[in-house]
Amino acid sequence: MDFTLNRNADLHNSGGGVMEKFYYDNQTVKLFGYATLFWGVIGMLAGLWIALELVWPSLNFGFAPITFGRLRPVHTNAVVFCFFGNGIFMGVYYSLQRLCKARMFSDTLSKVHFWGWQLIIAAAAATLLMGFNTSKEYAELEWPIDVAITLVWVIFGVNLMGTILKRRERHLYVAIWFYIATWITVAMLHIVNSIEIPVSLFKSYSWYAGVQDALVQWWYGHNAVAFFLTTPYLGLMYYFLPKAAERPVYSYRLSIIHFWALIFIYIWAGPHHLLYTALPDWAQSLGTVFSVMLLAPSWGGMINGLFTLRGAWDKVRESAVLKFMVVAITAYGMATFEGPLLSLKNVNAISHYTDWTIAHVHVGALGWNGFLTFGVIYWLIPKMFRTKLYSEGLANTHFWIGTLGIVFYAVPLYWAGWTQSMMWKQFTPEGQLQYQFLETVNYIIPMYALRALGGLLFLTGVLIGIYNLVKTVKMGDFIANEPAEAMPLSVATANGHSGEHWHRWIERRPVQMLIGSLVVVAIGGLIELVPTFLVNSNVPTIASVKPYTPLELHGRDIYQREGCYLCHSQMIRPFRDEVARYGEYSKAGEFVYDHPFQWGSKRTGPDLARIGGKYPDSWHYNHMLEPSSMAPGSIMPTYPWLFDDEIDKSKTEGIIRAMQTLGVPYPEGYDQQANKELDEQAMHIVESLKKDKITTKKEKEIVALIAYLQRMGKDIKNASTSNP
Amino acid sequence: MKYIQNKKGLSLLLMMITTGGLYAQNYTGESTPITPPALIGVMGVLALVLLFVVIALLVAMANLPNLFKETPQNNKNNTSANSLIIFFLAGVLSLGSVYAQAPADSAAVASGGAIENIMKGNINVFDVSFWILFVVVICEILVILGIAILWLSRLFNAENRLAAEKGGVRLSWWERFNDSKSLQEEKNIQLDHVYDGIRELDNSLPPWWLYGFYVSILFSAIYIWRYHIVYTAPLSEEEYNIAVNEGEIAKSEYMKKSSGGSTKAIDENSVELLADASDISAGKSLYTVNCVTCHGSLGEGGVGPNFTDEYWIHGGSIKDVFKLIKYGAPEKGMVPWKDNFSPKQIAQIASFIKSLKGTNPPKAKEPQGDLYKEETTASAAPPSADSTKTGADSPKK
Repeated sequence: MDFTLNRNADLHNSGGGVMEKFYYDNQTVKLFGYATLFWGVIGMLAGLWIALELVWPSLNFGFAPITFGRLRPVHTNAVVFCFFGNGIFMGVYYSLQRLCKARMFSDTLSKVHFWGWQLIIAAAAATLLMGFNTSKEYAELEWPIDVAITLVWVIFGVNLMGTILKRRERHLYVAIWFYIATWITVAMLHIVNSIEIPVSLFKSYSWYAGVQDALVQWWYGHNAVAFFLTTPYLGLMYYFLPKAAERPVYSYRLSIIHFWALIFIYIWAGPHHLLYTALPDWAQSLGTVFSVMLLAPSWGGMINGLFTLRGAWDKVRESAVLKFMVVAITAYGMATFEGPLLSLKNVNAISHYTDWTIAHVHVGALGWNGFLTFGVIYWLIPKMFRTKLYSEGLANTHFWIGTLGIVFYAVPLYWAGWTQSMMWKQFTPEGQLQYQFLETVNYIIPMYALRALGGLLFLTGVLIGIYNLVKTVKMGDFIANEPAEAMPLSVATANGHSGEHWHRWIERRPVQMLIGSLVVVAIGGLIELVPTFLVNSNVPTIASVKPYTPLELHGRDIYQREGCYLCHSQMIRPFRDEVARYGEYSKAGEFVYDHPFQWGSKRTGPDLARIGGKYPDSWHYNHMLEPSSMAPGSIMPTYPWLFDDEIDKSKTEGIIRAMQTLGVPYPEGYDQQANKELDEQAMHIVESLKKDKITTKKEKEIVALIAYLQRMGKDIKNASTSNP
Repeated sequence: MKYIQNKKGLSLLLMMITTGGLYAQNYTGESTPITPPALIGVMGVLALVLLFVVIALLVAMANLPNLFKETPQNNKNNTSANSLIIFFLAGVLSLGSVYAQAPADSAAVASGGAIENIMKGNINVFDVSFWILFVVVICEILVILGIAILWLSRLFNAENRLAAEKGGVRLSWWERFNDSKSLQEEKNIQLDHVYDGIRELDNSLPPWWLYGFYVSILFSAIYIWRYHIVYTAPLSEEEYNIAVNEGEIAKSEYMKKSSGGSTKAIDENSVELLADASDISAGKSLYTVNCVTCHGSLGEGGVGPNFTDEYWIHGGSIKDVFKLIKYGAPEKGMVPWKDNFSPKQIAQIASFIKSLKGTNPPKAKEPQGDLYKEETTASAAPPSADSTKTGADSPKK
């Protein structure tokens, strides 16, 4: 087919190139789209199941892989990295090609990226269910998978930048700025947070300990929200919303300001996850103030999204796609308004460790990410299959059920969180705690039931959506390679023209954009992390704090494997009620041998920082076997396998050596005698259990777990704090 | 077709929600005898507001087909939709009644109510936080409703059409508020580049947004200044000390008031065996909630020792038992309860435990500790004798 160029149509490209014909790769987009839906359902099912387990704890059936502590990382990882992750890739692969007027850089890399990511997901799901868990939230995967993620992320980056470099459009559209910042920042976060020392194929210890580990983890955790759930989605919004609404973007200069302000400020806000903890006060304050300053840049994105719909609100009434997008952007606005509020210390004192946080993230996840993903899919699939959506009515049903699901999810949890926190803090006039921990849990279980209902509604909506999309796909005629044509870039446009906006300069220079983003995001991280590592006064040492014994280390591994940190904190904040309930508040120096830290972020059960010595060994034994026998009404699951499985003593030497490498001061050659000491300590516990008529073998895992639990918080008794 | 889908969705919802409501009712009915604090009364009000939102959403949902089809055949469906909604509302409200009861029950509890405190002028940090939460939730609701109204009305379009008809440019208050160019003037601020059909306008930054940003930066500067430069705001540790002091003051004031001026509080030296039936039954109910897991529902023992025999590990006088409950014996696994129970309550529990002697429950645990012979007049026993005996606190075996 002969295609003669139309010179008049392209006066800007006065270089006079020849119109080039090429094809967009829709195949990869389609695959990522299917994967999005598939993993979305899996992730939400896992979420629904654990939500039900909080109401009926027996739903784990005594089976380790579906116990809350193992399924919860599956839920979070599946939803964040598989549902939203694939959703991002779907949207990026579609929009990037069109914004660059170029096919993806390499079909091979696209394939490797897609299948690599799915393999990682499969491996992640399997290993998490088996209990291979680094216990760093949203970074729970063990080191071989961390390495694989890095490789696939680099492949994605090469494909992304390669496409951008061979583009036929001189300037980069705002969506691409967000894609670039996302790529480089996620790479930085993932690598820094995943530095760990392997002990075996599926076991490693975080390089950092205690306070430092907590800071790195929440610098990562918070910015995973920022750069995996926010910036790429803003990029998608900037492409798909104006396309679907057929309206121009509201304000170019707002895009510029809010993009740079957002990525610069976001990275600082991590410490707001650690308010009132043993993190140094200055770092906490930085977390608070940068969170407050984050409000406006976040809302810049919402404003640019919603105002783009000016003059198109009548379309919103008619189009399910736009409805999804509008609620998504609104939910984004809500979540980013609430975030800064939750970062204020007086609000955080109430919200933290409660279900308030869970409600908050789900407004973002279900509303912003979930609904935007569905908006994009409902728009994309018919486009790529050259047809119309099978049923606009079903899509609307999905929308309304989903919205209702979000309300039913979030409202009971807001309420539960606030109520429980108030009950925790309630003193009687005589100065006693008014409520036992368990009473506060039992009080909010009806709210947990309603939350599960909300989740079920949302999932129902998704299933309706999938049915609708399957029908659409069946009606349609897929176009794997979509023809397009554009003029090549001409030299004449390379230097811009006088009078143009100053920002146009960097929009022509993707590499500078990449480096600029890295510099901007690195500043906050460096200023917070480096002093915490290098200035000793940030973590005053406590002389009485000693390394864990070998048996306790094994117990700690079990604690991580079973995901105990997901429901139990190990961080007593300096509040009157917490000190009354749990004991002396936690000090930074207590955690210097905690690789990784186990502070937790949620108290579905009570804090365990000073659980050591509070109950007899037999209490723990009975409690792990059947929690409700020791605490009637408890919603903790049973752990029968700990009573059958044996401690893997062959690992002890490696564990000790790894700890020595990390700077834990075990004496030279201690690895050789570790198992002997382990046996002695285990025998002690077995004997103490025997006094209470419990017979068990010293090799059983429960013995190690009891050893660890009985150790917690004991070091600081009669300890004196010294500042070096 | 579309509509049928909706109806199915609704009835499904209905089923799920009514069952959820039943569950919630049963639950609160049988397992939480403790009266919730007054703050839940405030939450009850909030709950009603939230239910209202859910209802509004449902109404919108049920009426959705009418927005898209304006054909008469929908009228019939509409009535059935209305009956569905009513049915559904009944379910929702039955669920709400669970919470609606809470405020009534708890009205008697005087302490802790955020609204009451604020009315009394005792604004504390938690009340402030409560209002912040309240505002957040209300804002979120308003935004949801606002969005719904936006697309139900044709606010913007109607105004713009009007403006277009008049041939002039008229900015709405909203456009002036945001410093937006009107839709008619848009072409003047349209930038010359196009990305895959997407154009960009160059509206100015909304002034409220820009000044909001400045204010947040100013706030941050003041925040850091106060906390870390001039130290006029308390950091965590200081805040903790303040809270503890306030707690102590409140407690001692209450004690003064409640004991009618005599500052004689119950402690391990002054405690006496309570014989009153009401004290014993109060002790029993506390025991049932807090102690049975280790000591058995009849005091027969389990993880912890048997209370029905004459042997005691830490001494068997009322003072010894009181002291042990109060301070615990961590090395033996006995939890200190002083932060959970008032001295009066501990005396009640101790008295109840003492009343168990000789009850011979089934499956009683073997005796532990030393034989304790009741003094003939237990309550009149000289405190010094007892405290030296337990003071040794050495039976480590």
